[in-house]
Amino acid sequence: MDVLEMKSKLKYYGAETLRGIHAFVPEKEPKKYLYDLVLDYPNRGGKGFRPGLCIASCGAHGGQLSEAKFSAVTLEMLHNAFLIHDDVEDESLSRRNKPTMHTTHSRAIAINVGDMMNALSLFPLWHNKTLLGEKLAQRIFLEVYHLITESAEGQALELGWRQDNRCDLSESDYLRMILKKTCWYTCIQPIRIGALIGSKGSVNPDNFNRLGYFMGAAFQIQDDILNLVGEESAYGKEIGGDIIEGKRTLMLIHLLSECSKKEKSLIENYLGTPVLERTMTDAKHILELMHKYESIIHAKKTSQYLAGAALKEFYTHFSHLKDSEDKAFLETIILYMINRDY
Amino acid sequence: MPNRKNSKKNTSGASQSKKDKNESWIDPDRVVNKAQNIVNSAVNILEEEIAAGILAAKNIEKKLIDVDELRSNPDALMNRIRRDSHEVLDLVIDGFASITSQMNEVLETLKNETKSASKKNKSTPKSASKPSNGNVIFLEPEHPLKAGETTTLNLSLFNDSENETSTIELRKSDFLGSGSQKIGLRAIKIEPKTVQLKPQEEKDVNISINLPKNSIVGYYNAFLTDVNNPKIRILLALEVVD
Repeated sequence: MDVLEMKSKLKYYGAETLRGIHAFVPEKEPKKYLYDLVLDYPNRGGKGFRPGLCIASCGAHGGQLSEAKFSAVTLEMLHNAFLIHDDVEDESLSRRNKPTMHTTHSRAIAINVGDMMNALSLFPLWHNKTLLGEKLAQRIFLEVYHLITESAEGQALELGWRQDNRCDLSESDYLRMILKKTCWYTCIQPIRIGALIGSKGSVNPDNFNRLGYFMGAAFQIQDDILNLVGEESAYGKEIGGDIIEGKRTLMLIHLLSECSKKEKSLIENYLGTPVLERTMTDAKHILELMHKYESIIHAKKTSQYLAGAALKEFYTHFSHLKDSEDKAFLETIILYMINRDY
Repeated sequence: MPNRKNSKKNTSGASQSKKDKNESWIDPDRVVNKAQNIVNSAVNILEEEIAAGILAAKNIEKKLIDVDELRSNPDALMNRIRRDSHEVLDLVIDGFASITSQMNEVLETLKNETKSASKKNKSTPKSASKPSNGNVIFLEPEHPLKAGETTTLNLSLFNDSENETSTIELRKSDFLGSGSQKIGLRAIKIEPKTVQLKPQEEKDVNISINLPKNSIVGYYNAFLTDVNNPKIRILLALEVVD
């Protein structure tokens, strides 16, 4: 499978999931302040990475899209709920090429919409009972419970680091934070859930922990790199926004460990300033320093190593499965991560 | 990270450390080392986090199930007994599901055997069979069905007795899928419900299947038996597709 075919399949799975999300949003009042807004972020068209992984993992294990559809809807709804809350917490300005919800409405409205999306994401799991049987539905419920708690813990770490202006973080701290904040809900658990559904509960989901972690970490690092070097229209968020937000990315942690004392003190002062008072000039200077100390190259290589390790894990746990489009789809995603030239 | 301290101390300019680092990316041994370090570090973190998660979950379980407190509190004890009874019931239901699944496998085998038998005798139409003692009649629509679709199968019943009248009244079962999914027996309609056959008489019975709109994709089997003669056994098989 080539990259174009992989992207087209991802788009198809994303579209099917979006159709499912629409089905689970009640057609009732209050629309203006709630239900219309619930559909706002999903309708902007995300990558559909999480449902894509879940459906493909299900397919590779012999299942069908129809069996994974409710779980895929839950994953995508939760992701969009997280995004709305993240945007408020990070004071982000744009999301998927449009202004963030809390900037066009109020912060209070945006938080409430995120809350409702979290609640709505539970109902497809209830429907899993009729689709997959009680036992499997319960196992998937626990998977989702785990991914939500891990994501909130990871988010707490990152927000806490910013609150305390932590500038002494190591790569291990970063890897732990993204495991919790991103990897469980973006890759590990979607692959686990898909495999459980496709195999009708017969597979050991722990087999996919490393694969999902390596993939998720590579994905997160690449996403952070795109925030610095990507094109705003393609990335969908303001370029350099992570520096303005003071996000503890691998590049920032690398820079803090490599730069001179004087430069470190300058960065610490910048990160100690309230977000809205930080200037683009200072952010650009930090980006220059990241280039100077090759923090971005370091991050690119790190993500490549992790994607390579993911490929090895993929071959270990998927090679014995019958060849299928979904299996090829997963392999192509990992190869794309390895060969990415931004 | 190798060389981190050296490059950190070199604050006079980044050019020398840049050169070192560029070389370090090219040197295959160092690249492998770096990659191994990162991956090992990630693996350790993952294992630590999973262990911490298991410990936390066990602690929650411990808090939720306090044996001494349970004993001293009759209401809580009763609740616990009720919950455990439910769990036992769940186990029984699981056992029943497992038996049903095994029965399904037997039915599948029977279906395959009947299929191969019907291949050998091509003159027998697939949807019109005559019951006789000890055989299972296999009925299957010509094509897979979609949820919400209806189909009708025709069954010819023949009384091979020379002098006795026979009354046949077919009893239905649910359609059971390969997993735990099923389609209720209300999806099957038999017309006429009761058939009286004089000696050497043949009559047709129409079996219509009206699939619910929420039917799940998969293979299903249902079983029909005569209330008066359990040796008359009919297997209905169908596939639901998207």
